[in-house]
This record gives sequence, structure tokens and C-alpha cells, in this order.
Amino acid sequence: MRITNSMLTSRALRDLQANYAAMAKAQEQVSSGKRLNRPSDDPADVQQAIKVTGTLASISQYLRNIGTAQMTATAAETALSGASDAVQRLRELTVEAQNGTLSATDRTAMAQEVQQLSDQIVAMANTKVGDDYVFSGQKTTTPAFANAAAPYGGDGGPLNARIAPGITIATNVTADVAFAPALAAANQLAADLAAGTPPAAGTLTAIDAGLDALLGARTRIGAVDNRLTDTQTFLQSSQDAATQLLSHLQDADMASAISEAASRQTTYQAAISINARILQQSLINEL
Amino acid sequence: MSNGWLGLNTALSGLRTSQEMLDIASHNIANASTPGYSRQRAELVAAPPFSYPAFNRSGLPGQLGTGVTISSIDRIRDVYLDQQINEQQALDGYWGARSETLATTEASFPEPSGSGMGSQLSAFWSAWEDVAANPSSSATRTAVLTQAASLAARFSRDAGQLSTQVAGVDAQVRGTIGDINDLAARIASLNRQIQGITVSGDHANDLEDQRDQLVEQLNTLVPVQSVAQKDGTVQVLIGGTALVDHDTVRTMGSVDDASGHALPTWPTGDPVDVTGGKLKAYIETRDVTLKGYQDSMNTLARQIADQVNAAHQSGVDQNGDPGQALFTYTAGEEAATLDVNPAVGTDPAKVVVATTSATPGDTSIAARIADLASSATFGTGSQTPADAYASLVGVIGADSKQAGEMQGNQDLVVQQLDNRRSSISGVSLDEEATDVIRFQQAYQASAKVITTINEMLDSLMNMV
Repeated sequence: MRITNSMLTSRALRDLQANYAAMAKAQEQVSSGKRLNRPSDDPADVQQAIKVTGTLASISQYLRNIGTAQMTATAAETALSGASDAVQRLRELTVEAQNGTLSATDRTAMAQEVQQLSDQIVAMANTKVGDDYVFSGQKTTTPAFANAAAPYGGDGGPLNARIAPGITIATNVTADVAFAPALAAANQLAADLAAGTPPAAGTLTAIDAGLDALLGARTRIGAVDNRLTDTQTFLQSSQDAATQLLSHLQDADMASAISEAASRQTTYQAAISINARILQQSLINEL
Repeated sequence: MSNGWLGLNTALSGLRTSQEMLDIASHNIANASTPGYSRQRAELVAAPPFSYPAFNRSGLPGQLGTGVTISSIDRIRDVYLDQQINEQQALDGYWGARSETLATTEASFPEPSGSGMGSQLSAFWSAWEDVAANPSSSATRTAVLTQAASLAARFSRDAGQLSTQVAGVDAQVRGTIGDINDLAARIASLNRQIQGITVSGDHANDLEDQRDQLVEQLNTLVPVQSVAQKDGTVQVLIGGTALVDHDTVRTMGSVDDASGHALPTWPTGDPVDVTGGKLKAYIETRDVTLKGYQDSMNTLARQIADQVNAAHQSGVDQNGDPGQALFTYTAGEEAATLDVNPAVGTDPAKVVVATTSATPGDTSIAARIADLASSATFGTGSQTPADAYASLVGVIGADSKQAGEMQGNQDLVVQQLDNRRSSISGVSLDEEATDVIRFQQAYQASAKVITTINEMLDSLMNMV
């Protein structure tokens, strides 16, 4: 084959450009730390990366939802345990009031404490998280009990938390189930004592039933809390896996990217120095 | 019997020819880097010999040579190779234009990243999740409206980028038609000059080089057939219709289609049959590829707006009023015109979360909207919104990657052929340097002959 000068120069230029482009590509990977810098770098992996990024966003959203639900559960748990303490005290007062040696005046005095305890139970039932009543079902802007004598103002609706893809759980107990029995017993006791009479027969049973209702509610909230924690652990491990997958998809393998860049650079330098020498050679120089 | 004068003339032809050969070498060297230049070679032949005029032939043997002459100066060129290069140039032009255009389009979709449409979608669904978790907080409701507005803005931005691209490619179509006409005019003008030289019996080497190069450039724009004519001109045909015939040009024009996009036509109004080259790449990318991306964006925008609106309108807002559409759009350009319904505006109370205002803790509407994120009813009808967007980006990436790779391959093919042509037609400085030495020596030798004959004549004179 006849070799001409333009063949040599155009090939030299082409090869230098190709080397330079490969060097730029390797440099881009090293400096951005990313294997995928534009959709065409690997269309399938880019698609996958977009999906995984979406999954990660939804996982952190679910974790946030769980956080909110845990906050509500903690507040509910605190309220229920506060109410239980109050009911325990009611029980002590009932036993004390049943003592026949007490005078009517003594009982009236006790009635005041009972009334306070009953107010305390109402306050606990009207616990709010943020602007929302926790024990009013879905009527979150209505207090469970307007006062100790008022009927339950909420409904039986669930407060749902979306805690994982496709999983929604009711995180609340309603005051009509949890607080109403104890409150009714407290009201009855307060009425009896205020009238100076000993507590009616069955008061203790009613109070115990009230305690049981509170305990039952605490158990339910505890179960919700456990479920939230379990789901949280599960989501966190999914999050780790997705983060790893994303990193695998889009992060450059630094060791190989750097060695690629270095080897491209060596090739490029060699090509420059050889071309600079060879392209100068010609018989013309000898004329 | 010969005389001394004939020898002088013979030596003179040697001097002249050597000088001309040096001129040709010098022309070749001067044009060693000229694009499209073919090296030129002179055909040297012995000059017509001289027969002794005698009634009876003397005893002298045969005819006596009268020196050397140049019969023609030709350019060294392989016509078959030219044809192949022209065909490949059309493909190179096609993929080059396509990859350039799609690389620009791709740059408008900087994925994977935390700033693309994908993350906007996530943020929008998240805002609904937050409302579902804190239904009565006006902060989360405001966040829903803010995210809805940024999602709409993102759609219009991306759609706007695509329209800008389409407009840019349309301008390229118009520009390419102008370039084709310009090249055709220059080819016609060269045809005229070449014809003038050819009829007088000469070879218009340099003009033909220039013209062939223009035909090659024309091929990158639109595939043409060039048919050599006897008078040295070429007829340039596009799909059987002559663009250039001798020195006349059939100027290409354009008509606008329904979307206002230029389509090339002949002066008769007939469409030009464009089978490749940049022109086809631009038309196809504009009318098929980018149009497809726009359609996907519009479909996704419409589906999201419709489904969110349907859910939003099935509940009541915080004031107890029936829910209104959250998004508005204009049919046909859904992505570009997507916006938050002005009737909802920035009023957080108008965000619909519940089915009745009596139960603010009921978040079923918010949950229904948040569930759309994983509902496979978008895009092709079996994709989630994020999947639909991801597959659009995937298609954009794959198109751009394919065009880039094809262009790379095509570049190699053209380079290979160009190399072969360079091997045949290119100037080798070593060859020319050799010629310079050869004809310098030939010149010196002829001069020496003249000196010698001169001395011989001198000796003759001195005898007198």
C-alpha cells in the first residue's frame, strides 16, 4: 500500500483524539465518582437507578410515617398510664370510703379528690398530639369528653398510619372504649361521696372494669408500637440494601477508574511524543 | 545525415519537460494538505520522430527521435472508491446529525440525579404521605400545594426543553435545505467552467477535484447520485430528480406541515424523496423521535393530573366544600401547560384529605393519592409514574447511545475508505521529493547536452 503524508497525519490526529476522549471519560468517572453521568452511559442501569432512587425516597417516607405514628403511640401510652394511676387512687379511695366509721363530712371531702381524679382522667382522654385529639377516633378536632359528665364526642374511626408499601395500621384506641368505663365509675363514686353516702355496691367492680379497659388499651398501643418498631427495622434493612444497590449501579469503581485514567494518560503521552517525531520525517528535509 | 540544430531542439524539449515536471511536483507539494486534492501525474511520451526526407533511404537506421513531450496531465483518482465514500458519507451525516441532536436532548434529562423529574415525583407523593400522617396540620397541606406546583413546573420545564429542541431541529432542516441549494449552485458553476475546459480538449483536474469534494459534502446532507457526462460535467440526482444538470440548479424549497415544521419540496411542489443524510436525520428526529418523547411526557402529565384530580374531587376540603381539581392542563400539550388549579391556588384549606369534613382524622383521600405512586396504571398502562418516567429516560438514553455508537462505527468506515483514497490520490512528499531530484538531474543532463552541442558547433566554426 502506498502511504501518504495525509494518511499519517490524519491517523495520528484521529488516534490522539480517541485517546483523549477515553482519557476524558476516565477522568469524568474519577472526578464525579459516578459511573452513570448521563442516560446514554448505560440506559438500563440508569432506568434501574431512577427506580431505586424512587424506592429509597418512599422508604424514607415510610420511616417518617412510622416516626409520626410512634410519637402518637408514645403520647397515648403516657395518657393511658396517667389515667391508670388516677384509677388506682380511685380504687384506694373507694376502699377507704367503704369504711363505716367515716362521717358524711369526711366523704364529702373525699368527693372533691375523686372529682379531681375524674377531671384528670378527662384531661388524659383529651390528649393532643399537635392539633389532633388522640382518643377521638377520626374526629380529631373534637375533644373525647367536653367535661367529666359529657358523653364521648368522638367516633370509632381508625387513625391509619401507612407504614410500609401496602400496609396500613390503625394506631389509635378510642376514649369510649379506653376511658369511658373508668370515667363512669369515677363519676358515680363522686356522686355517691358528694351525697355523703358510702360508695354503691359494685363500685369496686366498676373501677376494676375501668382499669381493665385502660390496661387493654395500653396493650393494644404496646402492640402497635411493637409493630412499628419491627417495621422500622425491616425498612431500615431494605433501605441499606437499596442504598447499596444504588451505589453499585451508579458509583464508579474508583480503583479501576483511576487505573484506567492513568493507563489512558500513559498511552496518550506515548502517542504524542511518537507522533511528534515521526510526522517530521520526510525526504524533503534532505533536499 | 543529421545536423547539430536537431540535437539542440531535442535537448530543449528535455529542458522544458523537466521544468514542467518540476512545476507539477511543486503543485502537488503545495497542495499536499488541500482537502479533496488528487495528486497529478504527467503522461510523458517521446515526441513524434523525424524521418529523413530522401528519395532513397540512406543507410541510416530508422527514425530519429525529437525529444520528449507531455501528452496529458491527469489526476489520480478511483471513481469506484469515490462512489463508496459518497454512500458512506450519507450514513455518516445521518448518524452524526442524529447523535449530535440526541446528545443535546439527553442533556436536558440529567439522570440519574437528585434533581430530575424522578425526585420531583417522589417529593410530590411524599407530601401526600405527610398529609395523611398529619391531616390537620396546615404546614403539610401547604407542602402538598408547593410540591404540586414544583411538579407542574418540572413538567413544563422538561416539555419546554423538548419544544426548544424540536424548534432547533426544525431550524436545522431549513438550514440544511439552504446548504444543499448553496452546494448545488457551486457544483453547477464548476460544471460550467469544467465544460469550457473539457471541450477545448484539456483536463480540468483541479476544478474536478473541487467539484467532487462538493458532491461529497452534498452527500453528507442528502444522498445523491452523480452521473458523469461526456462534456466533463456531472448530473446530480436526488431520488431520480435532477438537482444539478450541467449548469442549471433545481432549487429545493420547503412547505410547512400542520405543526409548522419544514418539509423539503421541489419547485413543482412535489416532496423531495429524502433517503438519508443529515436532512433525513433532522426530519426523522424532529417528527418521530422527539415527538415520541413529547407524547410520553404528555401522556404521563395527563395521567397524573387526571388520576390525582379524580381522587381529589371525590372528597371534601377543610371548609367542607367539595374537592376541586388539583391540576389543570390544556389537552394536546399537557406537560407544557400542567399547573395547579388557580381555584385551589395556595390555600391549604382547599387541599382534600378526607371524604367528609366531620372526620378530619379520615385520611382516605390523601392515602388514595399517595397510593398512586405505586399504582401500575401510568405510562403504557402497566407502569407506576416513576417507572413511566424512568422508561422514558431509558429510551432517550438508548436512542442517544445507539446514535453515538453508530456514528462511531460510521466514522471508522469513512476513515478507512478515506485512507484508501488517500493512499491512491494523496500526495506523498517522499515521491514528490524524489521527482524533484529526478527532474533536476534530467534538467542538468539536458543542459549539459546543449553545452556539448554548443562546443561541437564552436569547434566547427573555429575550423573556418
